[in-house]
Amino acid sequence: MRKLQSAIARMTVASLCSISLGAAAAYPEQTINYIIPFGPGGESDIAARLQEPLFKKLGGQPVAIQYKAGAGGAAAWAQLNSMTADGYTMMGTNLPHIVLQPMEKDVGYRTADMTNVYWFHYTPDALLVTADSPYKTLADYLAAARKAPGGVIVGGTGTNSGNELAKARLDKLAGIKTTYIPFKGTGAVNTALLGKQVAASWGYTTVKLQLGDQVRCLAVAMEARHPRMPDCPTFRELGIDMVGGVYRGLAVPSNTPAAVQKQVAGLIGQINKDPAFVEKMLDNGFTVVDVGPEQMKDFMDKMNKEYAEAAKDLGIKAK
Amino acid sequence: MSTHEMKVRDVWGAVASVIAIAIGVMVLRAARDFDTLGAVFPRSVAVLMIVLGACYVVLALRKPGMNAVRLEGSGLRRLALFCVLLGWALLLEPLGFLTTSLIGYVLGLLIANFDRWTPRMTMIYCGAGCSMVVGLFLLFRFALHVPLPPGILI
Amino acid sequence: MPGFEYLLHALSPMSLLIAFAGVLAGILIGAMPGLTATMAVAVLVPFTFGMEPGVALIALGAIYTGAIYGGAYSAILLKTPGTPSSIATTFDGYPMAKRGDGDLALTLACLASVFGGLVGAAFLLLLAPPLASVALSFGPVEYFWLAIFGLTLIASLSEGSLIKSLIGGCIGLLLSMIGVAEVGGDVRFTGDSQALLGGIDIVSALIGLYCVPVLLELVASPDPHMRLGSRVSSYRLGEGMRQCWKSRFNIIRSSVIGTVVGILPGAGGSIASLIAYSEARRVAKQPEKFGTGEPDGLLATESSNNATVGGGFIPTLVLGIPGTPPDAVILGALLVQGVRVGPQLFGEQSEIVYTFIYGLFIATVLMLPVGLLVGRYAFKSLVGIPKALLAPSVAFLTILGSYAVHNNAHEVLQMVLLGGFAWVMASWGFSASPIVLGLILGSIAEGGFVQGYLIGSAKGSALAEFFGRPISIGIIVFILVGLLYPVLTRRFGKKEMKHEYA
Repeated sequence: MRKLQSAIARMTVASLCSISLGAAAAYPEQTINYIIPFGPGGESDIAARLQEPLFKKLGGQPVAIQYKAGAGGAAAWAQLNSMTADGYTMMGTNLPHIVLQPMEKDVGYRTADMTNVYWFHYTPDALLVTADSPYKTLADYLAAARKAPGGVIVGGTGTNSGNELAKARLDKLAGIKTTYIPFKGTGAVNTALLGKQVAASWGYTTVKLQLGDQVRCLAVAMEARHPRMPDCPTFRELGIDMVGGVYRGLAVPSNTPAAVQKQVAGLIGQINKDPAFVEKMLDNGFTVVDVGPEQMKDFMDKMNKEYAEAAKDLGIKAK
Repeated sequence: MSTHEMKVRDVWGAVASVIAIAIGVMVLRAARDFDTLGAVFPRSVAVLMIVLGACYVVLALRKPGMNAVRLEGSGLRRLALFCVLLGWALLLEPLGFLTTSLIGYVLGLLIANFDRWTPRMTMIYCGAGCSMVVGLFLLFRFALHVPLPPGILI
Repeated sequence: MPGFEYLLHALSPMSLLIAFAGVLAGILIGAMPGLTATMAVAVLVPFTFGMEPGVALIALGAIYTGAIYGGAYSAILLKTPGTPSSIATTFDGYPMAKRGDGDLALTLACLASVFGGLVGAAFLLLLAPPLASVALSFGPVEYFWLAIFGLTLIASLSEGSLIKSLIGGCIGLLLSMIGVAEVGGDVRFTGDSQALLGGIDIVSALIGLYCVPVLLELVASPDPHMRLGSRVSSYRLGEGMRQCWKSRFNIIRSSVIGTVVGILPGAGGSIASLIAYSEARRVAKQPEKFGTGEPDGLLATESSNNATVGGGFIPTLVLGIPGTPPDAVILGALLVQGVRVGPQLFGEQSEIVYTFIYGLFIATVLMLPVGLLVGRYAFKSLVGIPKALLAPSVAFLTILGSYAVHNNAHEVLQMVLLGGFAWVMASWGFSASPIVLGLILGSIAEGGFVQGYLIGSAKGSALAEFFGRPISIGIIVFILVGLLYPVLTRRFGKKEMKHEYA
């Protein structure tokens, strides 16, 4: 009797597995809604646009990219878990944003509410000045900031964002004080930088490659120089131990079945292996990374710890 | 300004101004929790609004006939349509976009029609309306990829 | 003329077809309240991936310029701006339609849009690199003053009581502060509602504030919703042309204003048309006629908002900084195509740029026949449709449009509630436009103020930052002149007080 029961159980499990395997083979069967929690033109948008043709090529289905800007991403993230959880709704997600934002204030979601399925690229922080800036090197910049504490004005996007964090970390590591001006989006910061409203700006490798010869990169927070910008030294080369940037990935509503989450992650991982895609990402300053569901927990634990430490530099007191 | 309105005081304008003053006070209280820089704008606007509201109350009560507005037509139909819109917005997600819109459209038809209903007209109006709703639904849902809420029906 | 050989490239049958289809699609999308130019471009970007870069750009530029123009239809016929760029078009376009000149208004809007579009494109073709520096000369402080300049329009717009309009403006400003603050990250006035964290969306607010009161008035009485002109079947093209010739200085001035404001990232078509409108009103012989169906007002707004298209492409292509939100989408599409924007684009990849600019010219010219035809069809069907059908159809469009902005049901609710609020306010003598101005300009003014203050303090003096920069001083002078004008006209002739409902 018991044998029979276990046999039935085994059969059920087996048939369930085959059903889910069948489903796995079929994903995606319809258009995927790809929500960008920011406006158009930023890093999240450009990366998504680079992925877009590959969703069609590798998955056989198009994606519909939508913009839900507001509150530095928080407006969209706060709504993510109430969206349809069938694997056809996914949303861009950013580190450190999703860790730092909920730390200080109630922004409608907590870091743990986010179901991140894949971190697919990374953009290292870069300190930029205009091509004709008096700061030729990082040393010039640091010297100016030491001479007039608070007098060097740097721009970046948003409050408690990756840019402000980078500013706070360099200030601490180099023992300087600078004034940070938050702008609304990458376009606005770049305007302020090129228009010399700010003396320098915190951006990413992407910004330097987008603006080209109009700007000079003083230093980049990578372990080794970026292959597309060999003239820009790393902070480490210059004696400052600073490596960091923004990770971008995709999250799904938390009710999305684990098997479906795997399928979503599988598709993104597949796109990440396309050589032409990787090349194009690199040309635009993105570095492709692969943090899938298997590594997700360890990675998030590590990041949470790192950012909790860094938040102190920003003066954020955890609630 | 027509003559029969000359003597009317703009009481509602004054009421609105008092509400504006109250909102201003509430904003000032809420602004106490904000950062210095985050509070500058709410505070200045609130103060401005309180001053303007107070000015208008004084003006409206002293001088009769200022900008009084009168309503013409059916207030009931306006209210009914507003309620339909409100219900439309609230039921969009639970009921589904297409169902709610069809119901809303037909109710809107009923409210907006002043003529007698004849069978022919009913058929034409409902046919035209439903085909527009369904057509745009299909266009948005499948051509423009707008995820219109499916709800429990459609 | 630079890159003339590429004109032929832009005139290839494929490019022409793409430009035609793009303009038509853009006009139709723009005419729907709630579907903005940004959305039109974003939805259609994937279709351009298969095309070669120059043609893809033509397609996107055509959609963009068509959508900006298409917004005028609903602004004129329904008092609901189809895109934020056509807000000011409602001021005079709708009164014109009400009194039976809807066909003329649509023709004028088409002529003005084509002219404005051509001026913007001409600046893009001839002066792009030097003009790009204009984008850079505006800092936070200048944006602050520009927003204040826009707000002063409230004073000249006020039908009825000035104080009531100003109170409306304050309400709009307060509405703009809802959500997470740009600087400092304070969560303001959300009443702990997650739906309000991102603030009030301007597009759905526009639909609510303008369209819902119109709808409610539509069902209140059986009177016909729009008076018919005597010549229903005509375009009134000759009359329109004569009017344009009479207003040629206004159109040229407005087109230049539109181009320059379009160059400024962060300003865009709505601000361009508001400024062009207030300037047209300021220099007009009879400024009191503005707001009652004055063709000059319509011509100013429509020529300036289409000029922002060419203007917006200037920083986008020269500096890699998007001039307007649709430009940001196009910039992303270009990067995917492998086109690297920047000063070198005009040198190394000049083929793409000049093909595109000539394509934009062609698309703008195509807008004339397409726009006139679509406009006439829209007008005829709107006049011909029985009121019983019109009201629920418009109601459905408001719901659909406000949902499609961000695919949020709560924005639909927000639209309806703001609409009810606007109706109550209107019945108490407060018009919607000051509220809308406050809502649109509030965040620009606040962002500029706070950033300017931080920069000024770091430099040593915030006061010097706000009042010491040459462009700021220039804008301040304009503000003062603009403010003194209505005071003077008020002195010399009492304005007729008028309250008109939809």
